[in-house]
Amino acid sequence: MLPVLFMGLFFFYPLLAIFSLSFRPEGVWDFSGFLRIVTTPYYIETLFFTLWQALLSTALTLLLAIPSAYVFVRYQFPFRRLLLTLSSLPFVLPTVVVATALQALLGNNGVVNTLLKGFLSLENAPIQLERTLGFILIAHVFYNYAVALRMISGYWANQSLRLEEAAQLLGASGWRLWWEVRLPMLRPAIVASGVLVFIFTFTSFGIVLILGGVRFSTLEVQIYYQAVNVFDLPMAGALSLVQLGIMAVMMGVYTRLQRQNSVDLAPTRLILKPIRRWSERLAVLGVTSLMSTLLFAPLAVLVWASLTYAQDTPSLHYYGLLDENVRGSALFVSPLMAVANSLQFAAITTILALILGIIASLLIYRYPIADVVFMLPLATSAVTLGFGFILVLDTPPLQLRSSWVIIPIAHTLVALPFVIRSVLPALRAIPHHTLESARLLGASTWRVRREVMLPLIGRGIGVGAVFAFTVSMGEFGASLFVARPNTPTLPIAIFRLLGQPMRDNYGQALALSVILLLCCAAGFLLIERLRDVGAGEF
Amino acid sequence: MLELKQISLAFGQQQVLKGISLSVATGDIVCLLGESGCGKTSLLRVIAGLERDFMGEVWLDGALINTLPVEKRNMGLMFQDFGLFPHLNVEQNVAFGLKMRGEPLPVQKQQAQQMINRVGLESFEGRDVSTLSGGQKQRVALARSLITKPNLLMLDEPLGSLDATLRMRLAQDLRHNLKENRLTSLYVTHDQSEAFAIADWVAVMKEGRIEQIAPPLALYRQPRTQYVANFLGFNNVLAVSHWQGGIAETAIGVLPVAKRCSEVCIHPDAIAIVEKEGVEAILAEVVLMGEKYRLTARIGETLLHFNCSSWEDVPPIGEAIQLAWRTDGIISLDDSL
Repeated sequence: MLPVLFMGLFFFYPLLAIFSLSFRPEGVWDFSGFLRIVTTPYYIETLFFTLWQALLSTALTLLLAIPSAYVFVRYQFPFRRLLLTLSSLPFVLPTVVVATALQALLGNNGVVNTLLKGFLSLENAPIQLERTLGFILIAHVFYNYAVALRMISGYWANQSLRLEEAAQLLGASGWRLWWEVRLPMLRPAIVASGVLVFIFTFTSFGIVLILGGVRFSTLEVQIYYQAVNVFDLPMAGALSLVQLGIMAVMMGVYTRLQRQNSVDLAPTRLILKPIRRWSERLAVLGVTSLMSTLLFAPLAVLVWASLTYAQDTPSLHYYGLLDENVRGSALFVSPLMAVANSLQFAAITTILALILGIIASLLIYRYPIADVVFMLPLATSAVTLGFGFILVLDTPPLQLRSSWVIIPIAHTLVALPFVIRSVLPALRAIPHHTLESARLLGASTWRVRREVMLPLIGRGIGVGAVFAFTVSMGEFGASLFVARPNTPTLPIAIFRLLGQPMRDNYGQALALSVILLLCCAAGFLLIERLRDVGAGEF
Repeated sequence: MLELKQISLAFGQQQVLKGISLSVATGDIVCLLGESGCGKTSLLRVIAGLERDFMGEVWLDGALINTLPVEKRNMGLMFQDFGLFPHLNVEQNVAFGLKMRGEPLPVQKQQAQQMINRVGLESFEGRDVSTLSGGQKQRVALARSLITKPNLLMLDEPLGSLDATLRMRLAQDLRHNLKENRLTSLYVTHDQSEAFAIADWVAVMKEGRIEQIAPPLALYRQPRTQYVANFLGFNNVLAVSHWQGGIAETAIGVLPVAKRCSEVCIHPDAIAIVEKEGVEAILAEVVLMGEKYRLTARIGETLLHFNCSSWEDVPPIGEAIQLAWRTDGIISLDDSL
């Protein structure tokens, strides 16, 4: 019952508060908030832009991912497995790190522009990406390319090659093979991954906030502005509900699609062709260089930029600044304190999320219907969650607003679905007869759990723990609402430092981003090592 | 002594068990034989306490145990996939039941070792169970079930996943092992030769009911209904058009049948080719069935199947032959329940 209580108190209660705030701000029914949304051109534009950028991001992601998936499913080439594994790294990378890295690479003072300026002896930066839609799109592709690639290539690998061979024997070739056989065959995977990418980009917050600036705001960013800057809480509430409604529909579509064409996870033996013709060589080279550029260029530049100072000479200067509070106004504490904060919060989150996640998994194992309840935070944006928190945790009976506890609680909500998604498959993989045998041999329900279940889901618990820790380290949206000025988390500190004009502040942001990157990359490697091939339900 | 009274079980609309009554005397091996889906595994699960929503009564050694929790029944159940604990080695698997009883570690170790030796797995105690062959896994599961000296041992197609030749040998080993331990056992299989090899009593199940229960030889010689006869592979079933005073009229002439019935079966082992004074027939087909020949003869429109094992006895196909049958091989069949 503990996890249900937790969900009720810290998830449904805040959501309910948002509902009542937007429908009954003064205790009587009032729909003016929604009326204002649909009658004010500004909000309509926001809604339109949110949809537009999500659609563009999705299209661009699919356009790159489909040919890449083909190369990965068909050809054997050096570093194929390694690249495929590493391609999922962005999944665990915090938005602030990615935003900082992309700025270090492509920003007006970024590496590319600096090189081009020197090379072409120009006054101004030739690539003006900062605060453009293009910058946001690049970031979204960075995040979602691997999601689409993995889903499509996974589905493709389970399709018989015979079908294509049959089509070729019947005379289909070239583009007709793509248009009439391959793409229609892949449609379920393309649609499902498209919907998922759309969901992710529709609720994108950190990327749009940092890279888009004031010119671009999505629903998510608007909720934040309205709640924190303008302090129009009913408006923020109404926007949250619009967002929740659209998300509910998209999640519904996605689960339906997943149910219709759940891919058999039993890995079929892939037949990979060696590369022979020059066109094949070109395709493989194109895809691998695209992947490695997309994946590694921003991260490498981020690390390099953090390690240089003044005329680009190697230096640990920025790291040396981390225990200093360069400008009192940026942070109330030194950047190093933010690291310590985040580590503490992440440790507490891990413990909380594990306890609740294991109990919740047992509950779902017994009553599968409970799954919906615990997966809801995944469909709810972190900003909405954070907003609901400041609504209800400020007043009795939950006077937690000024307590640091609120941060690990928020992080636990975000991490819980990840823990459940790691533990539950392990639990479900235990053969039923194994548990029944234990009972027949005299083990009570509790002893069956302790002696048989727990040891068998150990690996899943390990994966869940690392997930919870990494999620907590990188969480941005909810933290922005609930973190107190004197207890910033690592991502919050980076965000605040990025907003400062001083070069040293920017350097601190770079150094902190690298520290966060290392934490998350280490988590990623641990997860990949712990996880069995094919295990996990996403 | 296990006693079942009117056991019924339904999964939703589907009636899986339809009022089964059965008693198993202490030390006996009873085999439940039937096609898949006939309810034999469900019956084991009811007895073990793994299915709770059933009707009827389960009595064990004079006590009604309907509501006794699974873990307090001290029954063994060997699943087809064995249900071994993948995180424990052979010895830990075997000792699990003793550990649950709170036996001290040295006792667990010593008894487990004894049991491992008894099933012929000496020096396997430290092995990871995933590295064992099917036959070895089966013996670990058996040892694990035997160590707690269960009141009743149930085995659900324990040899199902093994190949045919190994199966017959292990079935005989298993019978020997169960008898040696004086265990009351219920054994589920769909394979009749396995059932005949292992059981004291064979109960043929059909659609949630027990069609017939008898010792192996009696069942084999006297199937009670057409279903049982067909299940055993006896297809010489003839309709009786008229019966009077121990004589039944059929398509192949009159047959001596003691009891009034609508169908009779001529046992394939009871038919033989004779030199003279038999019934005229044409040999229609000869099929080699491993150790014996299966012959089909035509009498008018009726086909009769019978076996023979010596090769001089097989005439060429199409030849006129004469057939005779033992009178005790003519079985009157009851209607199915």
